[in-house]
Amino acid sequence: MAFTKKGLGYLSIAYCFVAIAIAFREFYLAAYVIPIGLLFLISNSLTSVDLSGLKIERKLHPSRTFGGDPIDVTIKVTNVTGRDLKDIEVEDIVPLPLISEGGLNSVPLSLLREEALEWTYRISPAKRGHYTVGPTLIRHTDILGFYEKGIRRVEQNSFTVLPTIEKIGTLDLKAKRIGAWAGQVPSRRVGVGTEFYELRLYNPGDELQRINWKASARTGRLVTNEYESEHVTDVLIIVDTTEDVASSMFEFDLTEFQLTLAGSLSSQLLLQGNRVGLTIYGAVRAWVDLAFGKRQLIRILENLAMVKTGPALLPMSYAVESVALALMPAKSLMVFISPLLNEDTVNVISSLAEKGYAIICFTSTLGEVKGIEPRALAVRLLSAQRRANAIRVNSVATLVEFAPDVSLKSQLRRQTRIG
Amino acid sequence: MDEEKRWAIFTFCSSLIITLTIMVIAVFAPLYVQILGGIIGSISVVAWIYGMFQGDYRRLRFSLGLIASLFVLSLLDQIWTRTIANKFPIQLLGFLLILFNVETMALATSHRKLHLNQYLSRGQDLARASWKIIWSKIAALGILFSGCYLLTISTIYIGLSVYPLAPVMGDTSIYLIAVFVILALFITLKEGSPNDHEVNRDLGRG
Repeated sequence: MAFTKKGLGYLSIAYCFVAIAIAFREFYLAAYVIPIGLLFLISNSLTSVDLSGLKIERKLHPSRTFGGDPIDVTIKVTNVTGRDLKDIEVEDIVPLPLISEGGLNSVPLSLLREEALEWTYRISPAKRGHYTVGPTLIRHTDILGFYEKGIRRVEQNSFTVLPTIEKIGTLDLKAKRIGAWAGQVPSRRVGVGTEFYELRLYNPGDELQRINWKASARTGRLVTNEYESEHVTDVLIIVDTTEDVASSMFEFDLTEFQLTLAGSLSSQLLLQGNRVGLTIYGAVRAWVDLAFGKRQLIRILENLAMVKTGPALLPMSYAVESVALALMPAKSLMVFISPLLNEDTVNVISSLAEKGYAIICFTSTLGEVKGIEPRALAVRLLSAQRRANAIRVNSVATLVEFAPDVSLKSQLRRQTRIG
Repeated sequence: MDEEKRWAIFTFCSSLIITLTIMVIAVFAPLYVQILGGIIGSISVVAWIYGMFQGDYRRLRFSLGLIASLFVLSLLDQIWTRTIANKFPIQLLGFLLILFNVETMALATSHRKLHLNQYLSRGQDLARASWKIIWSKIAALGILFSGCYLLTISTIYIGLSVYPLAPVMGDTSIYLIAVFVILALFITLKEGSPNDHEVNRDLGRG
């Protein structure tokens, strides 16, 4: 038990009365201390509580969310102490970056024996990342709040805020290497598909609906259409977050834009049936092996949520290039997402392209800032550097430039075929 | 009943107690204290009502601060005019009413945010539980403070009646020593608990 500020305040008042009583030799002033002393004694004698039997449960819903979406935290307190509990306060510790959107994380309670009470508060994470809520602190005070006793309960619960993703529509990809399964990437081989490939003479057993009647009329023999088979492909998305470019310099957050792009591309590529992997290169490095499906998307997004910008410890040629060479099949498709402000990235792209990998590089334009103030000059310098690197990349890979203030879908629609 | 109506009733009741406190302090006070009481009282009641609706701790504290200053003024006047003995019962009542209002303020500030922040449907249970706490605590505090008042008055008058038989009981220093002993004993009992270190660590106090 420890004195609260209030308890100390009451004691101070008592001592003030005593001091004034002594100073003025006034018996009745000292008598004002009697009720304060009585309040302390009665309040103390009415307080004897063992909080160890208090059961607290915390549930987070959902445990995973996309940037900006709120999380509901439900706290359930059950009194299994075997006696009635009065004057307790249950506070769930919410760390600073989380913003409370509704409800309360700290509630004063009184609970009868075996009584349970449940309430929900809502928190909103400002941006992607991994967050924790808790622990829960239970404070118990005497009836007048002169003393306080507290215990910690319920360990922390964590949740992940995934980067926001956009629906970007069907991606029309070209790839040098295709997988065995049917997909949406043209294979330059005859097979089942939607794209016309060539004409050939009709063979008995061919489907009648594939007969090209116009060509048959011209040649005088039955001619059928052949289609280009479409398959899935392997795509490795490489996100370069080494450049800690202050978002205050631009009117957008470069890293968040890159992560949204990476998440959106992963989502769409997986939806189209491709095998997708991820490499993050920056202050935090991560590798997600190639795989299919929704679980792979969650794995990718969870890794993207952990991204921190800043220089990497290992050079890109080792951390990305050598690992990609070892793990990615030859001629696979690699998607670089980079601001292209670093010459190392350009060198790695050139090296991988030389080794036969198909490379697509998505890069964000930095916008224009007019004026001669230092910020404007810095932005112009960075833009020039990015432009020079982009020209080099364009000579060895497919370069896709994006304006961050325009929706990804509308910009990708302009790219008829990528790769 | 609507939450706001319930809160309005609570505010009304507490405002009545605040008004009663001002009246008790000013009723036997000299004219200038009564005039000041009228001015300070109206300001503090308005601040109190506003603070209660907003759950604003600062306004409530300001209001109580004004009333406490009125009490101190009245007490100083009694010391100066040597009339403290005559007005002791009513002045003590004023003092305990101020303390009671402090408790009301603590209740209002901790529970108002709960009523303002009802979030999901289950918050209704929480609000119901909160009202139960508020009214039961008000009742308990009422009994506690009345008991304290009666006990103090009884102690004083028993002491005064015993004085002719044992003149030593009329000496202020005896009371002072008794009070010091009680408070010291009390602090020792509270701070010397073997679990204190653990508790303080849990509360983040080292």
